Amino acid sequence: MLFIPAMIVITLIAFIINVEAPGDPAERLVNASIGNSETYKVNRQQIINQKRKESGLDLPVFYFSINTLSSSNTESPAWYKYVPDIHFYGTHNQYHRWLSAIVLHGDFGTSYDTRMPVINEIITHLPWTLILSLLSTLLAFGISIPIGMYAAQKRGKMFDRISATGLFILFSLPNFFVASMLLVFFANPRFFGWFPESGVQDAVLFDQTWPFWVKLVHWAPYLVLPLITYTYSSIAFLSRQMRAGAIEIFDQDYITTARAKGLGETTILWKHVFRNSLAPIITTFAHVFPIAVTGSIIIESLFSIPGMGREIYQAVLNYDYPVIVAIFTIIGFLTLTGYLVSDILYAMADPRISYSKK
Amino acid sequence: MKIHTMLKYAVIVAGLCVITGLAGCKNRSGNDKNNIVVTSWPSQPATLNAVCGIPSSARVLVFEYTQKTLTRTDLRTLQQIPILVKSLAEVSPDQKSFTYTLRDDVKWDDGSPLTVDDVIFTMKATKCPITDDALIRSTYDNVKDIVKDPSNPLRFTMIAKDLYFNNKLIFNELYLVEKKHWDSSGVMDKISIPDMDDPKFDANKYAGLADWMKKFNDGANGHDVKKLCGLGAYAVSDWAANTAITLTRKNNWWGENDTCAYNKAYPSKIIIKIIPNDQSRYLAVLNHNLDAEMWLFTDSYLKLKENKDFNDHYYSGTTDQITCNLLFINTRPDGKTHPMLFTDKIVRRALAYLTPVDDMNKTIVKGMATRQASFLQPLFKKFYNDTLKLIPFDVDKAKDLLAKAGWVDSDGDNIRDKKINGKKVQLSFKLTYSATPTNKEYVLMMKDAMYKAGVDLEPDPVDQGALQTKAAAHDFDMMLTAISSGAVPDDPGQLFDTKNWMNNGSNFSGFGNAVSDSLIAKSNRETDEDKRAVMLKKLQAMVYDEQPIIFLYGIKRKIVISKKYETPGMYVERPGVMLNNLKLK
Repeated sequence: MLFIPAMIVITLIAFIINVEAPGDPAERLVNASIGNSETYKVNRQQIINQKRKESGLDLPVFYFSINTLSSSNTESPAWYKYVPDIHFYGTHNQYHRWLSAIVLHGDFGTSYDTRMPVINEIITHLPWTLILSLLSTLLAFGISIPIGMYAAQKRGKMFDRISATGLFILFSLPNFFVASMLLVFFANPRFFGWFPESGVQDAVLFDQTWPFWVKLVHWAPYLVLPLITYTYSSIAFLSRQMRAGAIEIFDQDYITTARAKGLGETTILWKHVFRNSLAPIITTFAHVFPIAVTGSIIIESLFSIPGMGREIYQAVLNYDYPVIVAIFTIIGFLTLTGYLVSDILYAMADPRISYSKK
Repeated sequence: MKIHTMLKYAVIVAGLCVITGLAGCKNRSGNDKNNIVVTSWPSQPATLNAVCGIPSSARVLVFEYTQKTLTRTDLRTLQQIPILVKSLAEVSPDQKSFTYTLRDDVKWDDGSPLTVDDVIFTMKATKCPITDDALIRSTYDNVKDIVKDPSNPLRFTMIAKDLYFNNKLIFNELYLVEKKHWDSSGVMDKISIPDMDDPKFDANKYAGLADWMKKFNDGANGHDVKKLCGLGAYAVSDWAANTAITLTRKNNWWGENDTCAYNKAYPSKIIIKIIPNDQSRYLAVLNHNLDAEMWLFTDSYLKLKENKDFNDHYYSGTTDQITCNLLFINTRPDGKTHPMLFTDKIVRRALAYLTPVDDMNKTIVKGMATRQASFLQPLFKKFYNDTLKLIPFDVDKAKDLLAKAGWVDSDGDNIRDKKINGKKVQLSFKLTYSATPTNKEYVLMMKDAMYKAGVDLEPDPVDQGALQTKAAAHDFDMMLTAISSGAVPDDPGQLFDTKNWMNNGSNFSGFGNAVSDSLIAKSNRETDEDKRAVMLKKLQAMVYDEQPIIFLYGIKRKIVISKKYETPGMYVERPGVMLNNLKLK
């Protein structure tokens, strides 16, 4: 229910960032046109105004403005400053124009840096981040759930103790360190030069006309080290979450009852324990969506992956506000979507949870 | 399914992933049969439009092989040479008219010959106030007009507004664009070059100009490979964003039988991989995945030099670069946000004595840098004032100077202080720098050194954008940064003209007075190199005396090139290697 109001709040925040970002966007675009040239300083303001009009920056900022009467009357009585003066502008305002462009056309404006539509920049860089994030999520869940369940079943035994120690060590290692070590050992001919050291494809060999499966086999070695870096800490975290959830369920009376009824351990584990211990895992699943789009600046930079992490980093360095604001808005949207999906999954995993009015 | 069975499956899946990865690795192989040169660059260009957008070193690298200029600087000699013209300019006695004759064998990709109209169109497109090319347009402010020779369609004269040392070099970096391709309807024909200089230029006065320019400025013209055409031997055949730019040699290119080194095109492809970090570049060289590399950090380069396999497979060497790391001192602080610490040149000189430049060179860049005492590099032999002595690290001398300037430790806290306008001020300042690990090392070494003389240096790391903003706003005490220039000494006014301090230009330190401004103006108008050299040496002496900047050194470029090529040249000027000249043995 709160999805739409929350999304409106996010767009408002993004828009405020856009409007309040240092520097006048029109001036920045015009600077790109006029620069420091002495010749054009006379008509500089005229060109700025023209650019402002083209970009809709001459319009009122929002649907309405609240001021005091004194702001519009310079020689007004003192009490004017206590009287609100509200103006309504209808849909002829910057926010409406900005939001309509996004909603109707997916238009987030133009990048200050590349002069390309922001949406194109995002579409160009998104696939690699998406591939890595989704593969990493699948791997992380695929590996951590069995480990967590097994550790819970063997609570206090050798496997539980060893896996706990190993996973805590993994979780405590920073990803830039792991990435560097992986490169040093597995992309270095002095040790095991098994994997490429950077990028996602061999620029010499890669051919756009290859069938998809050939491309996939070509890309695979480039993805192994980044994927390990993306995944290892999630495995550590998720398997501990899974273990904790499962142990809690193992202690429930209905599990004892199930055992007393003579149900097999496998049935108990998957039918009763697994499903009921999913709640913490589902919570973390909500964060997959925004991460899938933003990627990781550190991992993408270290492995030279042309993804969103590097794009965001470049945008921040270049003060490329249209790109920053677009990514902020998309992250907001996806975070909310993640929560929405989590809520649905909660209800699917646990029939006791219901969002309908009773 | 039992847990341990699931675990088995998980291990099998992970194993399959690794096996697939390893299988894919077999794809990797050398490119020895075809001469495909692979190099790297740390970032991709913002655009590859020859006129519009933000220029960058990556763009210059690509244009080196895909675009042509009328004249250029020869990397080997640092002298100007003709490229698309038959000879260098015939200069009029008043030094304001420069006449060129185009070569008659130059053809665009569509087979059309290069014409004077193309040159005029390129200049109009560059000078037009509504073209999105601000960062390069001001270079052409001094071009008054280009006039065709009625008796020879290949001959034209560029007329300059004023005397300027750079006039004869004006076409060195103007990448030509084809009029027929961009302006087939002749929109630009209605406007003359002098019209572009009208301070009241109004695009709406010229029918169709605003709409045409909107299309011309479109970002896609700098990204869509089909639109990236030029006169060079190579065309951009693929641009995988943030991954690689592939340049493919053109068939039937107009210059393929030319003997000029810049028109050689031995490699069938030049691939520029975008590798943002040094470790990957280092590993790429170790794995023989790069044929030429010019961006290695010192440590990586030295580590490679110790590797036998590397030495067996790569040539390596260093060249000076036309860059300088330096410290700008704010000589005109506002006295509020930044105290009046460095208004006295004696104090600034003391700071120079307290900067351990040689130690920094030895420790941080392992001696792979060349010191300089002025804003010009010693490699500019004609222009560099070699009478200026490098300032040594000398704590005692610095202490004496600081005491002479009235800075003493009156309260015994190891930091010198002084009463300024009746208020006690400590000699404590912020050193603002772009937050990189190397810069941090510089700053910490300086902090230690300064403290020895009772000067408190507080590191102030910021991102590069903030550094530029602070520099322009004079919002710093001292700032660590770097400058670079071209093969001919730049206009010194950028760094030292008082006008460029007042208008928040790049005279960050606030150096200058009427005498220095006049000297800069004279040197800029001087077209005789020998006379200009005398003036620049005088200016260097003035700057040296005032010490608004502490000049550190220019870090050498480290170059490695595969030994599968015939012995290559390594050059001072960017990119340091002529990739088009790499010929397989």
